[in-house]
Amino acid sequence: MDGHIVLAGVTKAFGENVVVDNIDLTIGDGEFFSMLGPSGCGKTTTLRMIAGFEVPTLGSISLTGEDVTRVPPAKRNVNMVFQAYALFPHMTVQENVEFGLRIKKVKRQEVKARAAEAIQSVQLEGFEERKPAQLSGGQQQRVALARALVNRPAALLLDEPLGALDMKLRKEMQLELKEIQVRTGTTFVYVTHDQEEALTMSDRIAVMNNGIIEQCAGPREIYEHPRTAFVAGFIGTSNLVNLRVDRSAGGCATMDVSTGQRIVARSDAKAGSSVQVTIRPEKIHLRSDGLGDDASSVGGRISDVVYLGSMTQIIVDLATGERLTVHRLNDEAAAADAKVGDTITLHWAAENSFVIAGLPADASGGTDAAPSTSGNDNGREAHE
Amino acid sequence: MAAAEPPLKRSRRETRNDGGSALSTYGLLAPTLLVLAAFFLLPLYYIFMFSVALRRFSPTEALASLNGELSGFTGELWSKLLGVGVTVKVPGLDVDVPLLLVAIVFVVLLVLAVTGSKLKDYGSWVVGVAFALLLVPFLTFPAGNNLVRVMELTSDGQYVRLFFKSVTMAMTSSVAAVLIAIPVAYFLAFCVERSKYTWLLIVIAPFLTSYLLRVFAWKVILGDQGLINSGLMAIGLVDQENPLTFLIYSQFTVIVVLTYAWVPFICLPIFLSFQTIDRRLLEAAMDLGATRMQAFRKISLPIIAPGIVAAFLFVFIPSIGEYITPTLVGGVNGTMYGQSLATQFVGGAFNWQFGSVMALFLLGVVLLLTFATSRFLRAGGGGI
Amino acid sequence: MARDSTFVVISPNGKRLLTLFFAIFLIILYLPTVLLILFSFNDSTVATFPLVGFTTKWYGLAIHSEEIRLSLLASLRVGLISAFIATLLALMAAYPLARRNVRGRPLISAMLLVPLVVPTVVLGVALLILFQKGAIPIGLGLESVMIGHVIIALPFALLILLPRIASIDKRLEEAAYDLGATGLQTFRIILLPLITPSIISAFLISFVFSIDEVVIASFLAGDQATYPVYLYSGLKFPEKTQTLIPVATVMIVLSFLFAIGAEMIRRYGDRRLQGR
Repeated sequence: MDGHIVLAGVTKAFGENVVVDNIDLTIGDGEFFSMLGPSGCGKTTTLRMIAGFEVPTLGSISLTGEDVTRVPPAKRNVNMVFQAYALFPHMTVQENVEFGLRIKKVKRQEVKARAAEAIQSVQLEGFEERKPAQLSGGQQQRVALARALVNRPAALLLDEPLGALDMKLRKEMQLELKEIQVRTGTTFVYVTHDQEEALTMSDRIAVMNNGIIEQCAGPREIYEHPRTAFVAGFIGTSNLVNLRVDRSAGGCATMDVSTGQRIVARSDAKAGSSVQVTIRPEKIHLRSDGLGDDASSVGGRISDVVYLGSMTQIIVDLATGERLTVHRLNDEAAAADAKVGDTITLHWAAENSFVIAGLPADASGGTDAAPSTSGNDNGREAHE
Repeated sequence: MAAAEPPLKRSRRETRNDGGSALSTYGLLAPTLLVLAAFFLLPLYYIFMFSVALRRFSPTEALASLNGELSGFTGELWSKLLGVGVTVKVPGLDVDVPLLLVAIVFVVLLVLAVTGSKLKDYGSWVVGVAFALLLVPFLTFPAGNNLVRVMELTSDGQYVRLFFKSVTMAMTSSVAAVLIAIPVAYFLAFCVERSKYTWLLIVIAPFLTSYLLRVFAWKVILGDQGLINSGLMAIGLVDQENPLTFLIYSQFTVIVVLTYAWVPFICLPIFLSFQTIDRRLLEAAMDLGATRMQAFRKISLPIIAPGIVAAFLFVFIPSIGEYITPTLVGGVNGTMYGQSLATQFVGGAFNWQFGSVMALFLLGVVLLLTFATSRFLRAGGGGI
Repeated sequence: MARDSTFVVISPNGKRLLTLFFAIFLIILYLPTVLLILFSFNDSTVATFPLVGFTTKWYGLAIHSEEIRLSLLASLRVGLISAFIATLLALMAAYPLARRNVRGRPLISAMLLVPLVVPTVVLGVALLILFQKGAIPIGLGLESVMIGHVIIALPFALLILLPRIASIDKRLEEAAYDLGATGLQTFRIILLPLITPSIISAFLISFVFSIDEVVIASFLAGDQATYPVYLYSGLKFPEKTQTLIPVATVMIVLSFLFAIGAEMIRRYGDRRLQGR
């Protein structure tokens, strides 16, 4: 089964309100693909267009090489796992799972066999005769999964499927979902506002904001090399500083902060241009040991120290007025010693300062994502 | 965006793909709307045409002529109905007021009663006074064998006079029904701990049984040899030869029976509005030093007020046009407008055109009242 | 003394007083019904006190009365057919109103609900004109009564069905479409089972309304009286009333059971929707 999905120039507007703005996307066969973004970013609408519940205003969608832009949901070989599951409350687990096959008039014996297989694959044997309300949240989630997978769809579309579960169960289900995806080889298109969830499971992530795709790449690439300020801010915690490039040589840009203090980044940015640089807080060290000659080195005053259990968060005010957040694991003596008011020098390797590309020199500060610790809990996605 | 606009507009109607075409939407609505047009709006149109047709038609020729050769319109029948003036009687004083002025005062009071709460400073006072002025002319109190009024409206037009009398009877029984229903609903909402809704059902169930029979049963209770008279005779309070005659075939009887018939029904909306009160609010009020009575007045009352007004209207609106109850237990003394209206069509008077004027007048008053108070009706009825 | 949970809303004495009030209220509420049952077994031709003696002869008379039998059958027919039509029309209108974007929704809802407040006398005479002399001259008879009852029962049925349909998660229907069902299949397999209790409830309410309705029926029934019309005309003549009481008693008990049945079904529907 080829689960290849291609979105070409897809735009969706409700009245005058453009929710999805001209996106192009190719999702490969067997890929675990996530769409990540804050509420109202257009990710759910995009998913609903792939499912067929919404027709794009412009553009086309093709599935396994076939144009399905205007094909109704019933005729598409994709299935959806709904937010809050949408299990049929008057049917048993068995009836819920069998539903799709029965509608398609599959032979009775095959229905039984495939349903049993699907129920087994989500480990719900023994629950076949229960009604959805008699199941826990996690079990309901599995039924929803089995109900969709039993149809052997070319792609499975999941709309915030873990949103209703508590933290611990969510982590378990993340692993299980990934395991099922690998085992069945089905293409998963996964919508979530939870960046951790997306990073844990996905092969690739499309970070969306205001109806456009800000960046589409693997989890590591997205996390370590955010392409825009929005991505840097939305994924994890990130420091963002506005600087001017002083010297540029051999793919290495140097920005002086003050005497003996500099930030170095691997970038082709020209001398004199204004740039935004992001640095992940856990990449910043309190010592310079083993960071190489071209490491960045910046001094400042500690304005806050927060104990976070496994690590300590240190907030450092730079002389320039910028503020850096530093995360150090608590096995380092230096972190434990840090006190508010101390002066301190921070070091990090050149490859850990990342210059955000595609930003006009005068647009720095134009986003509201400035040195931020945002992105962890942006609230639940409103259903679009 | 300019290039995108035409297709945006074109596809707005087919944005959804869930089988809900405009054709099926309006196709499903059409039969119901057609039935209402043919059997509800059309007959009302006939009534209107009758009420203003210039020529005097006998019922046998009336419609044939209305459909074909309607020669002109007249307000003659309307002036026959309305008369020219209204006399306002308060103890020791009679004032003649032109009909138009009465209508204007009535509408102004209605508007103040409904919208007065939006006034900034004396909002609740304005509403209270307006409601009182609307209620008082139409309230009657039992005093010995008679019913007395604080203020009475009469008219030189006998039908308006009859209408005022009907409104008085409807108003009195509505107020009585609300006053009885409030403690019942309060008891159910706050004092009953277990199977509250079963008790509620026990209270409401009589409303759903035969109206005619419940009216008839009251004849057995209130008749000259009924339960009350025979009981009073048995203990010697009433002479065998002189039973209490005001109990049956009087305005009093009609008011009692109407009140009885509607109390069970309005317990529901009042109960529901009590249910919306969060007990913690009352606990907080008492914690802050309010007495139980103060807590009721300041917290509960504003919350339940719309529900109480709705309950009042639920009784009042259908009672104005009441026809069965006065016929069965009202006698000559307890005649109401609805009876007089009916006799124009099927009884002795047999004047369809004047009957139409009476019907339209009644309908107009009821619709005006409904429209003006739709806010309350929605609050109490959970309408669409 | 431990304060119970009603402490904040009422004093202990107030509660006693209110309990007494409620008890008296219930007695008066059910007194007429109890009296009817008593008099249906009273061996006297007039329903007056004191009671004379026990007899079942009135029931015997009622059973053999052709008039009563015919009027009951007429009421049953009118009630069943008008309740069926009203429920069907309400269902058809409720679905698009709950689920789709309907242009002019306020106007349409207003038109559907207005019959609730139109005095039945007015609707009765208006339909009398329409059927006797107007554009739809079907004359008087049970069919005309049915139509009148449909108009009044329609908003009741709609008020039961519309909130129930609206309360059902739209995603259930989407899930069914997604799994390959057509619009009709989705309605039949998903929506219909979930709203069946409400449909029955709407039908019962419409039916109970119809078999008790006397105003419209008395204008439109013509020669063939429905049961309430027969009862109404009988109640106007005291000498006839005693023969009416037995059937009346049976009817009151039946409609009581009907009402409770409708409510039970509605509650069952609520539970079922929650999946319990």
